[in-house]
Amino acid sequence: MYNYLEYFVAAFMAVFIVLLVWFVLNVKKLRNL
Amino acid sequence: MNLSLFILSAIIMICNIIWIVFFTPMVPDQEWAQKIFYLHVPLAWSGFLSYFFVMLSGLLYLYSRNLKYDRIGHAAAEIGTIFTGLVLVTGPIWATPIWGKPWIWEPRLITTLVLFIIYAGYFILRNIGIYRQRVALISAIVGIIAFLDIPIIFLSVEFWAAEIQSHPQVEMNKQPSGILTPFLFSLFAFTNLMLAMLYLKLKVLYLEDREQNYV
Repeated sequence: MYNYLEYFVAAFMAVFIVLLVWFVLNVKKLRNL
Repeated sequence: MNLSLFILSAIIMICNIIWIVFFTPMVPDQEWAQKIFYLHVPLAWSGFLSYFFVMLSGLLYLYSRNLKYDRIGHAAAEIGTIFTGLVLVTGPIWATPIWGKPWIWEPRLITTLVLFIIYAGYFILRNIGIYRQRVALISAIVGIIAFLDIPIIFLSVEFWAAEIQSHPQVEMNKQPSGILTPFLFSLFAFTNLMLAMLYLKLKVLYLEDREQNYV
């Protein structure tokens, strides 16, 4: 019924985890400067 | 004002995700896999736009020798590379069920991979440890030359072996409004996110340069 849902979830997580990590790292840097 | 910019970007992105997940139509044959395009294509577009900023700021740096433009180029290159990297990840995730294999050595994929590798080189150059103005000069030149790959990526589908696969560039224009409207909104949301990221990165790079007395 949910065809290829796992592929969408994998792509979705890859994108938003990377972006979230980038934001966290840069906000941390910004606070330390 | 700065915080409101990020909150606005976050709200737009959350609306975008909700729209993609719950309100876009299922395409027969591809179903959920097709929805990857709502991420994949906007990422590619925003990444290429970032690289356009790298090229533009490279030209402005060569003209003015102002480190401000080097910082813009550096920030845009980082974001462009992250986005292009994500394009190279989401593409194979989509291709695995649809083409039956994650990667095919065909023109658009190769030229996109080359673009990613060139910009990986750009960051190696930035860290070779020579003085700041020299790094800025070399980065500006590399940023301008590397941008030449982007028209090649766009034209690659028409130039070489167009019959190999259907690319979203061609396919998306033919879609009904149920797909086209959320796709355009996703383009807007990712462009907006890219600009917010650019703003944040510029601030970090400015403060780093100030700490080392370059500003």
